[in-house]
Amino acid sequence: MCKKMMLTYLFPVYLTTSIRVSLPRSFESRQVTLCFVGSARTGQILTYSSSFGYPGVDLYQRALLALRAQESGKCSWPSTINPMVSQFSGVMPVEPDFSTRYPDPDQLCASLNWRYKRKLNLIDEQVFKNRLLRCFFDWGCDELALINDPYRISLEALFRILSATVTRMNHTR
Amino acid sequence: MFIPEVSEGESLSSWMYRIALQGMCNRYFDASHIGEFEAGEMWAHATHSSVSDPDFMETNVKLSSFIKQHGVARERLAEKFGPCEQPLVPIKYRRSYCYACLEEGLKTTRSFVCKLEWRYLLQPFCAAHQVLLRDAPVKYSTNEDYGFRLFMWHHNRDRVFDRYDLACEADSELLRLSLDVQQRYMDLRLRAPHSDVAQQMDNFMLTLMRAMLLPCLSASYRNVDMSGCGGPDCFPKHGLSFYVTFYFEVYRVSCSARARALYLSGLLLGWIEPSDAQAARGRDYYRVTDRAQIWRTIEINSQLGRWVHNQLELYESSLLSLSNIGV
Repeated sequence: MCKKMMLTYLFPVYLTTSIRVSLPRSFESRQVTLCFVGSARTGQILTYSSSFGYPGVDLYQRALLALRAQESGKCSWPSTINPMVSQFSGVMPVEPDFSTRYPDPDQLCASLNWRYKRKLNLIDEQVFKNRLLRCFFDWGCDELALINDPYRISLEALFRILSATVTRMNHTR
Repeated sequence: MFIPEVSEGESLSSWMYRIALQGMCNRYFDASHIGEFEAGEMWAHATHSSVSDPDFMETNVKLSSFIKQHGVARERLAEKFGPCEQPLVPIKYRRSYCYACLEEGLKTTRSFVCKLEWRYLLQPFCAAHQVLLRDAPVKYSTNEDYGFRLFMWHHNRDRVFDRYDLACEADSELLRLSLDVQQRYMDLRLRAPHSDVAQQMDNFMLTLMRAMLLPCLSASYRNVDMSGCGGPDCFPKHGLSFYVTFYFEVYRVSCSARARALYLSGLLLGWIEPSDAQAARGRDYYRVTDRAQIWRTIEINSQLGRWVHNQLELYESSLLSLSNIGV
């Protein structure tokens, strides 16, 4: 008997922040590019990855690896998204290509490739982007306590902001 | 053992420091007390030290050792220092104070009493004395002896205070109007049926202030807000990142700038009549005096206008909504 397969489409959203992140044990700071992977069915963010300013990193594949590790239990992630992850069996890859385009700071984009732009048909793209920007930049007390200069933050602060962003995106309207 | 009473509106850190000053816990500032932490506590101390806010029980890292030493019940403390429901300036950016309150504290307790309400974002005026709060340098913000530092700074920097007084005198009408806005908002907030609505109202008002602090409206702010005692770092990096500026600027601008943002918010909400605003304008010819002018300035950039509308829409409530600001 053929079991009907239900696909949950995943989509990446890229964000290059204008905030610079200080690298540990270094005086250097870089603009980071982030890739959030969301579920097109629920609009929730499942995972994220970051290049920490290194060009040529396949952020989407890296985020998917994290998602698979999470699914197989090798990586600890919030338990709330586990049931959702176990349902997905198909992906909609959008391959990033830094050689053709580097994203503008603070502009969310669904693809890094000019020639291959996927539309997020299942959710309202504009609403999703506005929510994500608000959740990322509207810092709470915990994040604010770690930040001296908002234009140049530490790696620890970035991690805290990222985890708070995912929590806010998935648990608030 | 005698433990001094908590003054009205006093913050937790100020009260604990007063007790330490009386010699009741000499090792308050002694690093060796960290050795007395149990393993779990030690870890908590190490991991949370960077995010500690000494004004709240949950984040004050010295509270557990304090309770052990003095045997004060946590419940009793929780009654006096409960969670704050208003938006606050983060501990690293606190610098406002009311000198009259400091003086009163000195007279009644013979030590420096710092109030938590000086950190309220939506209250740039002292509710008790009806005066604009003053700003000290932000470098004192995380000092244990914050009140003492404020006092010393206040009496060491005459030139700055001359300028502050001149600015307050020149803007007395505007400050009166923004004080009215603050009081009217606080009255409205008291009418909120439950805490969720009050929180929505706070967020709505905060978003409105953030919008009023946008660079496109900077002509409504005086130079003193951007340099000197108002804070040299108020508007240094506009254009670098819109979102960081939008969300973060309100935390580090001076009280004077927040008072002006409140004035502009009052204009938008219709709480200040354009005729009053015209009368209060004086020789400040570039100051905005009506609601339509503010929207025109913001909506020159249509994307910016949409962003501001979207943000405000999120925090609409039964008492404060977009219809109040003429959208």
